Amino acid sequence: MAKKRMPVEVNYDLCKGCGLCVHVCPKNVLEMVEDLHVWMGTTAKVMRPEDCIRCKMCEDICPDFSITVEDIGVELTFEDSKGNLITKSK
Amino acid sequence: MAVDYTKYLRMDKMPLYWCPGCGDGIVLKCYLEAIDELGWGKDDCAMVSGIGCAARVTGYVDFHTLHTIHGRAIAVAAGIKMSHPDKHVFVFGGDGDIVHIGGNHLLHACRRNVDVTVVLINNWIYGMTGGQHSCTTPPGAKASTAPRGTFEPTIDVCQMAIGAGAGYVARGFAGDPTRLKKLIKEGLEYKGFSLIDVFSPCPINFGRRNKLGDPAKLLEHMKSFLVSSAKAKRMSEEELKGKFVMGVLHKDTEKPELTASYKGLIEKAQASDEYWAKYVKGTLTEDDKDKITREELKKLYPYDVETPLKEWKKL
Repeated sequence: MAKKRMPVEVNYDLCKGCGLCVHVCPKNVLEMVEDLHVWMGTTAKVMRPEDCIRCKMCEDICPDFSITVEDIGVELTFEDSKGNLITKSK
Repeated sequence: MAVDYTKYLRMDKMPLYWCPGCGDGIVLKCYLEAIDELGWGKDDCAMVSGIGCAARVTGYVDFHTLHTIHGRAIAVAAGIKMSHPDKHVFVFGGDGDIVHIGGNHLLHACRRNVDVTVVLINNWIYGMTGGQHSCTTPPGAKASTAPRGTFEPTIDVCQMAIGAGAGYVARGFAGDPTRLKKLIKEGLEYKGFSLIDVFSPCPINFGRRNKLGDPAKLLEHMKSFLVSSAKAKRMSEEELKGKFVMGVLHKDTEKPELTASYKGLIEKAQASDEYWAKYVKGTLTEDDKDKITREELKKLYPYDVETPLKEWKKL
């Protein structure tokens, strides 16, 4: 099995929970979540990774360098929101 | 992942010091992408900043960096550029730092057209010191020193810079990173003084006092003040009242750059000094006369040397 790679990844050590990525995402991939295990209390989380079109709007707008989006064309294997393992290259 | 930001950042200083939703990080990211596209090495770049939120950029970027006194960042940067003309020198600063306190230095850097790129992060407030109103706070907006709203008229930084003679003036918006990156890249490439005025949200000190505490809401509020340059051409003057035009506002490709003209002056002065040294020794040849004409020499040399020399030779 190929190594798991998500289209969008959030670095929870850098995210401050401002919510700008959720505001700009055209496909509603990200969501703000209250999480007491991260340092600011709220953080952005990838809830629907299968919807991501890799437009990089969230990566561009993130002021804290916490979001990274894979380039279009790289094949990814990841678990979607329902728990199924899917492969996507677009 | 298009650009490896970790190459340009001091990762041991992360996470960034700015408040959640602050636009400074977006501007820094666009700027690093522009540097990466141009392919400049880290040792060829020098970054100077004054005091303020935006000025904390120098702590995070792994170039030659200098954190100087309040408002005097441009003066220090001009000094670095004059002594090291081969280096790329940039200034980061806020509106309070560069326009309100260091306005005089901004004007004279524009006039001289020294090759420094200024990225002015305009968040309409003195963020770091506690939310005092600055010269760019829109009328009616509340600040800690204006609890019932500001009543002073504001300054349009770009128009001021154009009037003072800056080579490249542009206005960007932190909520539009793609366009901002292009503007910064064009400013970095330009040989001469370039000013990029970036509108950036300050959700804590500006937003919360004006009931715009949500960063996304403040971004939309700032966007309503801005018009793109293509759209502005089709609008009448009345419609443009109170709005700010985004994009490249002014680009002068003919104005001479300061370090280039200074180098030319040094070469001419050295040639004239050599000429006079040979004249005194009496070893002047025909080749030396081609290098510099007599009229040019008289203009350049500050003293009348010939008459005293003749008098001296008579003795």
